[in-house]
Amino acid sequence: MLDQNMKILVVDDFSTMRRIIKNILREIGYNNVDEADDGSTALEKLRGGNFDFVVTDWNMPNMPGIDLLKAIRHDDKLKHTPVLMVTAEAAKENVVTAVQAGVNNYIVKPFTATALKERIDLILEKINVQS
Amino acid sequence: MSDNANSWNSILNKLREELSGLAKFVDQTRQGIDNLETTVKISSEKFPEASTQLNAVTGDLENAANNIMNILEGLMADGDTTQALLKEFTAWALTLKAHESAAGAAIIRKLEDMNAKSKNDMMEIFTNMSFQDLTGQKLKKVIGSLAVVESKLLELALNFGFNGGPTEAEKKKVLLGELKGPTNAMPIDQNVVDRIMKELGA
Repeated sequence: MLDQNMKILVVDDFSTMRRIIKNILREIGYNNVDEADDGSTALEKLRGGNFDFVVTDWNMPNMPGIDLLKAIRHDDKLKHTPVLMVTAEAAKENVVTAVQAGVNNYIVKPFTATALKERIDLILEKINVQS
Repeated sequence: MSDNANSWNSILNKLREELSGLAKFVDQTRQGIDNLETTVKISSEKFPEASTQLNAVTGDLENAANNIMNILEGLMADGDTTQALLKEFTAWALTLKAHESAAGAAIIRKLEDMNAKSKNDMMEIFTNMSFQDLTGQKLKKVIGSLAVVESKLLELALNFGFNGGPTEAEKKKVLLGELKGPTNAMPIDQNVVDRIMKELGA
């Protein structure tokens, strides 16, 4: 079962955005947070560490968030890791693509601390109900 | 002059007029191509310059955002320290005589409320710093659009063989199709996202 000690990976190519998300997560009680600046770095970190949750951007160099999501869902060890997409790619087709690829929830930038907390809580609730 | 000679004269005059018209047209076209060459030359200098400047703006915005966030993080840490000190004060106030203790507790509560409000406000400023990411992404799209125009100009210069046109590296850029354009998807808000998520059962 996931809790506030869960290990979260924040993936975004903008250092300011990673910092914002990390601070919001800390503020809402999640202190065990690591970061990566693109999908391929994130995938390496995910394969090397026991992460419980991923918060990722969509638009990134090397490997965009959608490809990271697909890679996670195709990896036997990682496929159940919850993924929250936090992105400025707020087009209908992007949301549909992300859902089809197995995203757990999707937040449009700019967002508030409350919005982030609500989505994380929602994902965790669903996972707890399913398990 | 015979009828035959008149007829030939008329044909030659007509031909002369048509050739003169054609020469004018060729001259105008040549002037047009000269102007186009100048435009392409100026544009192929200006577009990369504009892209460089926009990249610099993105970098400046990121630096400024990081500086503001450094200050905010310091202020938020001070807020946490203040909260801890106020807790100590609360414990100390309890050791006072009843009426002093009540007055002290009331002041501490007020200070705690003020501290909590300041922290919330700072958090809001912090989340609003995402403007840097959003403007950065929009600037990236503008830079992408410039790159598309730059690529088209390079193609034009390449096809017309303008002197001082694209360099070998630029030609390679065009051939490799490295210059990519922006996406044109229509943005939607969080409520629509939530509705789509619900409809798709995610």
